[in-house]
Amino acid sequence: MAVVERFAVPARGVGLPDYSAPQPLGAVPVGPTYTLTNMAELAVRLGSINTFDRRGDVVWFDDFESGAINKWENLVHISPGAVTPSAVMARNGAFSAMFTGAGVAPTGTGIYHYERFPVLGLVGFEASFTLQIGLDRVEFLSDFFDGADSRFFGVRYNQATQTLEYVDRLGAWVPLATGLDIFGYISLFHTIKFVVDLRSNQYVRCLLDNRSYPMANIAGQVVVGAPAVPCWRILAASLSDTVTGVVNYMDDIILTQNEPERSI
Amino acid sequence: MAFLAWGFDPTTSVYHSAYVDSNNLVHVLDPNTPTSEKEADKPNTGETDGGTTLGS
Repeated sequence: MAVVERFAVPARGVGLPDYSAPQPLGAVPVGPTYTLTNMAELAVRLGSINTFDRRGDVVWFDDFESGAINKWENLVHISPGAVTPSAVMARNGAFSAMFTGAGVAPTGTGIYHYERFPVLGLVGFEASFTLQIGLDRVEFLSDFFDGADSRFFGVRYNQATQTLEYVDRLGAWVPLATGLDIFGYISLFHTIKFVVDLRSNQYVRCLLDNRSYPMANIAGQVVVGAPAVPCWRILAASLSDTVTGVVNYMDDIILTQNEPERSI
Repeated sequence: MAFLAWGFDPTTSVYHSAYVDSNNLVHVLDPNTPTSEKEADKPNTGETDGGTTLGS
């Protein structure tokens, strides 16, 4: 008796039929996040911003195409800069977020966003940014309030020292990679993404452009005492220690869950 | 329960944040600071860091 294949799937080309039943994926047994098998390429061609690393399920993003910084609050700083929507440069679409340092150094410009608490699994935080002369650091923090404690993670590119750094379990910035001279140009958006495991409070991996950095068994910081309302808070910031008025751009902030456990 | 602003102190390179609980107590959270050096909870004196400068 001849074997009857369920689907006639070409070796490559158009991919799987689009009437495949959607299935729950990863750590979320029932919920709003389902897969659409083999539709990722189509999504990208339709204008998705999720092109750097498609692993994980996108649960929130901001591409700043609303032309407003209305999903964020401004970081408080003694010499705060300004974050405004900008049509001067964009990684995708028409707008990005323009970070402008203040006229007094040191200056810090940042925005933070509150998000619902994710399922305790592997979550990712991706952002794209430009660099400019005089910009010392771009920092990306992820703070999980679980109802009892704060689980704090962060990575940053330190342009002043050409290092990629992360926040360790004691809250200190620790080098993850050194000698990292990534090119700073007004229209060149670099992309960084780091994944953490909320079950173990450890980092999993960090990606910066073409580079992958394993971070298995590296613990994040746990700060005891936190609001009883679980939530997720992320921050993107640009900091300059000595130069005033530095401008750089950020775009395509993406949060994911159900990330795979691979360390690279 | 309410969050106050998240701030950064350039003199110490430390992020600060705080929230007010249901008893109107201000709790200071200092991620990016060694836990042993974290500020203790303190009563709400009516003055908060919400929207003001830090590290001044």
